[in-house]
Amino acid sequence: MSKLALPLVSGLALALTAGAAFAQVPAGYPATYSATVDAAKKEGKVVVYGTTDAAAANVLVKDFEALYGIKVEYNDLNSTELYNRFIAEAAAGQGTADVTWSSAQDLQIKLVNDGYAAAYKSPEVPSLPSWANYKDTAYGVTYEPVAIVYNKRLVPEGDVPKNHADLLKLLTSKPDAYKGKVTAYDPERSGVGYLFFTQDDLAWKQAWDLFKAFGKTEIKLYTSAGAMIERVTSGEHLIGYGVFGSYALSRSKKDPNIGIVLPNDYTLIASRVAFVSGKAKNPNAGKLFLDYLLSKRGQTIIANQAELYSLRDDVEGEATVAKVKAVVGDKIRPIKIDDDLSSNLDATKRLKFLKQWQAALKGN
Amino acid sequence: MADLVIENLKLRYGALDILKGVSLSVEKGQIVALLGPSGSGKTTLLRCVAGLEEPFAGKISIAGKPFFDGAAGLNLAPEERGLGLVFQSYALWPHKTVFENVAYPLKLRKVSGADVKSRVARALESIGIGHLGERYPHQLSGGQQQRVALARALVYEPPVILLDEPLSNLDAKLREEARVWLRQLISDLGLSALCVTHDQVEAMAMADRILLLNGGVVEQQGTPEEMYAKPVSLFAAEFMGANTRLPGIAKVGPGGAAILDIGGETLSGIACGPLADGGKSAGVIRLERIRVADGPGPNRLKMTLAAEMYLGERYELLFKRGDLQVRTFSTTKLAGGDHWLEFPAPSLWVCALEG
Amino acid sequence: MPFAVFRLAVIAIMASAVLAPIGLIVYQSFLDAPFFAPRVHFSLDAYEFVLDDEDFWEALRTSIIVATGMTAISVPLGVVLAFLMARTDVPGKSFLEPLVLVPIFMSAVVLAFGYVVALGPVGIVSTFVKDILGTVPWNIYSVASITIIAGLTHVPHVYLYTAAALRNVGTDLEEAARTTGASPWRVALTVSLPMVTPAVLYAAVLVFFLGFELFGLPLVLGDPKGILVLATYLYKLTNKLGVPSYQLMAVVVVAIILIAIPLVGLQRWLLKSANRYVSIRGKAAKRAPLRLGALRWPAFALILTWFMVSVGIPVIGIAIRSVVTTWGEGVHLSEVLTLAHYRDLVDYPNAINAIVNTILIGVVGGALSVACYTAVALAMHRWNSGWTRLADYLIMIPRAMPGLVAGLAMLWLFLFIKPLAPFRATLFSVWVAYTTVWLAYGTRLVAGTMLQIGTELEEAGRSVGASQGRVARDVTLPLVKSGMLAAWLLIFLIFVREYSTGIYLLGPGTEIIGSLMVSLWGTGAIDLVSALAVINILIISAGLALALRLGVRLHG
Repeated sequence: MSKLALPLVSGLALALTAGAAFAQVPAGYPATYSATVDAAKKEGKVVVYGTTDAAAANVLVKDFEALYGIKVEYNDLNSTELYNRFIAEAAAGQGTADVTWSSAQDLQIKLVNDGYAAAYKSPEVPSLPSWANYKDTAYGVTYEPVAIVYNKRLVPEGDVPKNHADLLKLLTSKPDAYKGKVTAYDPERSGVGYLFFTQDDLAWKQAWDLFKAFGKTEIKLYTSAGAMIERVTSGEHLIGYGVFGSYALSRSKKDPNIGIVLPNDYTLIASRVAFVSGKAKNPNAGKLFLDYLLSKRGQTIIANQAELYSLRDDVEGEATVAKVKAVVGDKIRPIKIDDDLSSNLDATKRLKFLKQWQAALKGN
Repeated sequence: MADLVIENLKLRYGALDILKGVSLSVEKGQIVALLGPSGSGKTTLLRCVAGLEEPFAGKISIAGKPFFDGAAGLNLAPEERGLGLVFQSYALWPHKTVFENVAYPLKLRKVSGADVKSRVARALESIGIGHLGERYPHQLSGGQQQRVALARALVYEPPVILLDEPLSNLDAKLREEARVWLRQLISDLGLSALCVTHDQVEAMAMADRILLLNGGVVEQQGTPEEMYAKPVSLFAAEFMGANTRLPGIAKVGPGGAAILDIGGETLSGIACGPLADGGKSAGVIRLERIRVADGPGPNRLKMTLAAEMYLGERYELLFKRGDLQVRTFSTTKLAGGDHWLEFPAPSLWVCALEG
Repeated sequence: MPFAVFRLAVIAIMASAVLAPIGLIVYQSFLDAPFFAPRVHFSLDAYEFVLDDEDFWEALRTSIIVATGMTAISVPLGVVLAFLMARTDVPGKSFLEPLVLVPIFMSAVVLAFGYVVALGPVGIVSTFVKDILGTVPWNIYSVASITIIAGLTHVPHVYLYTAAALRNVGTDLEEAARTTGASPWRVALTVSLPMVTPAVLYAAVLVFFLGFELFGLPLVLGDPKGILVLATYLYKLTNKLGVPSYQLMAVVVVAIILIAIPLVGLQRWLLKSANRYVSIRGKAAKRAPLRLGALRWPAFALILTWFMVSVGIPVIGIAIRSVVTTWGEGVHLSEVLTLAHYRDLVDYPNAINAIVNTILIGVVGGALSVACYTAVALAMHRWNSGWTRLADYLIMIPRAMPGLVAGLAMLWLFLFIKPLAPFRATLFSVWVAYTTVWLAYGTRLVAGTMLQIGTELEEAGRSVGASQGRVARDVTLPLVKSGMLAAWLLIFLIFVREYSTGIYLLGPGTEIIGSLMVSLWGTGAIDLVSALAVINILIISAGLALALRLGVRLHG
C-alpha cells in the first residue's frame, strides 16, 4: 500500500465532500441522482461480494462510507465461492449481495445473462471505455495488465523477455536452462488460467507454439497466483506467465526480487466486473457503490492505494492506463466484456480447448 | 408367605439359551443360595430379579407384586423394584465418598437431609465402619468396601436383598468371618436374601435353602442337609462336598439296589437317579466316608497307598490301583503298601454316566 | 423426561443434522441442474459424466494409493510410538506426550506450505543439502511424498487408539511373559501387540478412510504436477465445465460415501471383536515401565526425528517465511529478516477480529460441541438397539464430505430451511457446521471414556432406585468428566484450525483465521498467510499448554 498517497487522497476526499455536501450529487451527475442518494441513505447499508482482498477493498470501503455515511458490508470471497453463494441466496429469496464485483469476468456475464443483474446505466458511462460496459448493466472496474513476472535475482538481464515472442524464443533456445522453471495458471484447474490462455489464442497466431514450448520445458501449472508468485520469488521457478499485474505490483513493492514485464507485443487487460444485483435489498445503495467504483474519486483510490489499476483515462497515479500505455503503447488488448466471454463457459467448447491444450503440452 | 417367586423363567442371548425355565421361591426371612458352576446361569437369574436382564418368558413377583410377566409384557425397570443388590465387584462409585455412596439411595427417595445423615450413620455404624464416612472407596480395604456395598443396598430397607458372589473378592480368612457376619446380619434384620455363589461350602454355611443350577435348569433344590446327603444326580452328587469317583458298570439288583461293577469286583450302593442295567456308571462317595479297613470284606477294595500328606489335624491319603485313584483321610499315619478300603453302601451313590 | 425420550430425541436431532446435508447432496446427484434452479429434472447424466471422466478414475486411483500407503506408514509407526510412550521408560515422556498429538491440529495447507519452504526444490533445508551433496535427493511434489507426509502426520490417530488399548492390557500379562524368559521386545511383539490388534486395525481403517478425504496436502504439494485426489478433483471438475456443477460434485461425494460405508461396517466388526468393555475397577497395579536399557536414547531420538520431520520442519519453514521478505536460491536469510508481515497483519482489516472469532469458536464452540457429543454418546451408551447401529453409521457419514462440499451443503441448509435462515450470517451457523462435520471424532472421544466405566457402577445406580436419567447424571457424567475435558481440548484444537466447512457461512464480522488465510493465499500474499499461520500455531500451542497445565489428561 502506498502510504504516502493517503493524506493526499483524504485531502481530496475532504474537498470533494465539502463541495458536494449540500446535495451530495457528484459533479456531472443528473440532478435526479439526489433521489437515489436519499433512498440509499434510507437503506443505510450496501452488501458487496467481491474477490478483491479485504486490504485493497478496505480503502475503497472506508472512503465510500466517509462519503455517504452508508455502511458497506464487504465479503471477501473467491470467484467460485462468490458465484455459488450468490445464486443459492438469490434462489432462496433471502438477502444476498447488492453488488457483486468479481475477477471471473465470464461468470459475471453469465450471471447477467441468467437474469441475476439489474440493468442500470451509470452516470459514469461517458468516462468509461466502451469495452468495459456490458449492456448498461455490468461494468469493468479495473484495468489490470496480465504480466510476466520473473526472478530478478536469478534471471540474467539478457534473458528477460520483453514480449510473448521473446519468451517463445527464450524457451526454444534455452530449453534446458528453463526446464521446470516456468510457471503459469493451469487452464484445466483455474478459470482465470482458461480465460487468459483462450485470449492468447485469439490475440496471437503463435500462441500454440508458445504452449508447445511450455510443454517442452515442463511448465509447472498452478491454481493460484499466490503459489505462482511465491515460487518465482524463491527461485523454484524463474518466470511466471500470465499473472495479474496488480498482484505482482503489490508484491514487488515488498519484495525486490520480483520483476514485472508488460509484454510489448500485446498486453491483455483483465477487468473486475461489477453489477447491481436484481435481487438487491438495497438497490439504491448498490447503485451508489457501483457508481462510486467507477467514479474518478473511486478510481483514484484504485490506482494509488488498492493497486488494482484504474481504467479511466482521467485518473492519475501509479497504476493507471497511462502507465500501462507508457510501457506497451497501443499494444493493449483489453479482454472485452461482451457475449464472447460467456461462450467461454460453454462446456463443449471448453473441453475441446482443453484437449487441444493437453495435446500441445505433449508436443503435438 | 413366599416373598420372592420366580416361575418358569426363560432367557436367551441371541441363539444361546441361558435360562431354560427356572422356578424358585424365597420365603420371608430366608436366605436362598443360587449355586452352580460358571455358565450355569446363576448370575443371570439374579440379574433378572434385579431387572438388569430381560427374560422372554416366565414370571417374577415379590410379595405378590408382579415385577416381570412375559405373557403380559410387564417388566419393571430396576429402579422401580426397590430391591437391594450387592455386586461382586461392589460397584462403589469412585467419585463419591462412603457417606455419599450410602446416602445416594436415600436422596433418590427424597429423604430429608437430617434423616439421611442419621440413617446413613446408623447403617455404617451397624456394620462397623462408622468412622469411614469421609473416605473414598479406593482408600478402603476389600472387606471395608464389601461392607459399604452392603450398607448401600440395605440403607433403604429393601424387602429382598440380592447378593452376587458377595465374598469372592475377600481373602480366605476374611471370607469365613464375613460369611458368619453376613448370615447374622441378614437374619437379624429379618431380610429375605438371594445369594449367588459358586462355593458350595459358602452356600451351605449361609443359606437356608440351596438351588443348584446347571446349564440353565434347576438340577436340585433343598436344604443344605438334603443337598449334601441326598443328591439326585451325578452332577448334584459331585458338586457338593469333596468326592472320589469310581468308574464302573451299573447292575440293578433286587429291590432296586444298585451294584457297581469295577473290573469284576462289586460294590453295592444307592441308586442316584435312574440307572440302566449294564450301563456305564460312576460311584461317587464323599472322601470322609471312605474308611481304611483292616482286611477284606463286603464293599471293600484292595489298593496301594501312593502318597500321604500331613494336614495338621489329619492326613490326606492317595490310593491307587491301576487307573483307579481314591483319596481319603486318616487320623493316623499309615504304613506304605497295600490296604483295604471300605466304601459303606449307604454312602455310595451309583449314578449313570451320560453319553 | 423419560430417558427413552431423551435418547430418541438426541438421535433424531443428530440424524437430522447429518441426513439433511447428506440427503440434499444425494438428491442433488440425481438432478441435471442445481436443485434450487427453476427448471430441474431427474437425471443420471451426472453419474454418467463422472464415471466417464478419466480424471475421476485417475483421482480415485491416486486416492487409493495414497490412502493405502499412508496407512502402511502410519500404522507401524503409530504402534511403535504408542508402545514406547505407554509402556517403556523412554526419556522425556511428559515433554513428548503433548507433542505427539500436534500433527492432528495442524492445518494441512499450512503444513504443506511449510514443507515447500523447507524441503521444496529451493527450500531452506534443500539448498543446504544441495550445497553438500550437489543435488536434492528428494522431490516433494510427488504422489510418494504426499503419501509419506500424510502417513507421518496421521501417526497420532494410530497412536491415540493403540496407546489407550495398551494401557488397558493388564500389567500381569506382560510380567508373566517376562518371567517366562521373554525379552521386552518379544513381549511387545508376542503379548502386547496381539492384545491390541483390534484397536490397531480399527485405527488403520480410520486412517485409510481419512486418506480419501485428504485435501490440503495434495492441494499444495500436488499443485505443480497437477496430481489429483478425489477432494481436489472437485476443483478441476468445476473448472472443466466453466460453471460449478453441483450434481457432479454430489456424485463424487456419493462415491466417497460408498467407500465409507463398508469401512464403518468393518470398524464396527473390529470393535465387537475387541475387548471393548474394559472397566475402571479395583486398584490398578502400579505399572512398572519396561526398561529399554541402551535403547532408551535411540528410542527418544526416533520419536524426536518423527516429530521433527512431520511437524518441526514444516513449522520452522512457515515460521521463517513469516519473518523474511523473500527466500530461496541465492538468498541469505539473515539479510532479508523483517517483522513487517506481522505489522501488516495488525493493520489488515478484520485480522484481529478473525483471531478473536477463531479463539471464540474454539473455546466456547468447542465446549458446546462437546456437550452435544456427550449427549449423543450418552444416548447411545449401552443401548443395544437398531438405532445405535444406525447412529454409528450416521455419525461417520459427515466425514465423507470434503470440506468444500460440506460448506456448500451447510450454506444451502441455512438458506432453504426457513427457521435456520436468521442464523446464517452468525457464528452459530459456523458452529453447527463444525459440530456436524466433527461429530464422528467428538462422539467417539466421549463414548470411548464412557465405555471404560464398569457396567456395574451404572447398574448399581439403577438397583438402588435411580432412573436411567439420574444414573446418567449422577454416575456416568461425573465419571467421564476428565474425558470430556480432554475432548474439549482436542475439539478446541481442531476447531481452531478448521475453515473450509464454514467458508460459505462467514461474513463481515464472522471472519476466522482460516478464511483470511484462504483469501490472502489467492492474492499471493503468502507472507501474510505465513504470519497468520504462525499465530494460529501459537494459539494452538497456548491452548495445549494451558490445558495440560490445568491437569487435563489427553488420554488414559
